Amino acid sequence: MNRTLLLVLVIVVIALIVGGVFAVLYFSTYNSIVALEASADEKWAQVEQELQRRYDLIPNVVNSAKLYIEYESSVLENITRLRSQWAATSQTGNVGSINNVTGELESSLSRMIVIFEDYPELEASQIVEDMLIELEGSENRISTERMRYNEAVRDYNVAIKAVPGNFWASGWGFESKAYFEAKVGAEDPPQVPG
Amino acid sequence: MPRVSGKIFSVFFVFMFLPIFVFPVKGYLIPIEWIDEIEYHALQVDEETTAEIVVVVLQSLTGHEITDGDGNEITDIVQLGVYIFNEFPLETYDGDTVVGIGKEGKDNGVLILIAIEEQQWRIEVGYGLEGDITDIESNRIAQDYLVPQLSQGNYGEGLYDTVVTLGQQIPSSNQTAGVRGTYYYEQDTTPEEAVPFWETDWFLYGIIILMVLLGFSVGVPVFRRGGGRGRGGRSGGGGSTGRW
Repeated sequence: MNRTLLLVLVIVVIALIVGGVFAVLYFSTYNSIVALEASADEKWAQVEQELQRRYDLIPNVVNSAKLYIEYESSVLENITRLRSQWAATSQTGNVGSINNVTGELESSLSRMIVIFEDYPELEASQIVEDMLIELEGSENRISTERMRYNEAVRDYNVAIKAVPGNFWASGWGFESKAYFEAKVGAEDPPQVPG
Repeated sequence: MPRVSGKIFSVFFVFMFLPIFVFPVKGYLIPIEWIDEIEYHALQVDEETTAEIVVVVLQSLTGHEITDGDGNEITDIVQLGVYIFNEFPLETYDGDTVVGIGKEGKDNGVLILIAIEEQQWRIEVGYGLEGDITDIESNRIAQDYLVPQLSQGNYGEGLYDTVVTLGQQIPSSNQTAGVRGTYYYEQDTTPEEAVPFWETDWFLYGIIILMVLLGFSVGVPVFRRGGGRGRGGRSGGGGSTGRW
């Protein structure tokens, strides 16, 4: 009688400890994934803000360039087209397609900078120099925030794919997030001539 | 008694011959007078505005051994500026190290980074000062005050003028915050230069040891490390870049 009671007690205590450890693990894993997701989302918002900053900047740059550039107006038209395309895509919130349009936009902008260098009177213009500084600042901000977003995504993706997160992550509805990569040829922000 | 005076005499004897030895110490890339001017002015800006203007001078963009999370050396001056501003622990005057330039929460730091060999400069502006020092303004200041001096090799003067002009952009604050105290940093790769022993730290240590040996009790400064002030300000790639 006594021995049975003791055995039951021991089993109950072990069950409580195991259950307790499991519960702590379960909830702390959930909380840490939620925190990592929130961090990644916050950094994505920061990326979007900087993309928006460039978006707002483009008309000024294109307009001041238009005064000087006649031949390569197709480049400017292309930038304007990609700009509106980007605006439409950013509404969807799909990182993959935003990634594509952003990459195209970035390579067009780099091409525009190269063209600028062929126009000495353009380079000499104070307005254009300021515009280019703004644009370059925008590119630097985008690449900084993009890097921070990617680091946050990496931490989040690791958390849901590694033990113990991988046991429950899909059940909780967490999916791995896409990285926001710089496109080939767009790694270097446009350099200000001179 | 005669034994003691004999000891003192032998100490003097050693000192008489010390001047023939020279000790190697680190030389600075810019004259020490200008470093003092920069430190002093940046301290005043810190006291008046709580903003921190920090100058970092690198010999080169390679070989500085500042690496990113994957262990690769950062050779792009913009990325390097962002990293030094936000992630790199810099020692402050009291021996603590602090990560992040500017005050926490205010993000009111400015980093002036120059790489001598590549002739590149970078002004990185913290989030909290992006309104006071726009990219265009930081570029204008650099073009007017930094680039002309750097191209003539007047590193100290150019950096000092830039610190002063940037400081004028920052509105004063009636809030009080602990000052950073150290604003000038230089990469430690310059060739060692020979200086007379009385200008070296070893001379100071020698005197301290001597005084202790002679029975004087002196307070030896103890280095404090560890905890630090924690986190400083943050930046996100704002500012301007260029060459000279």
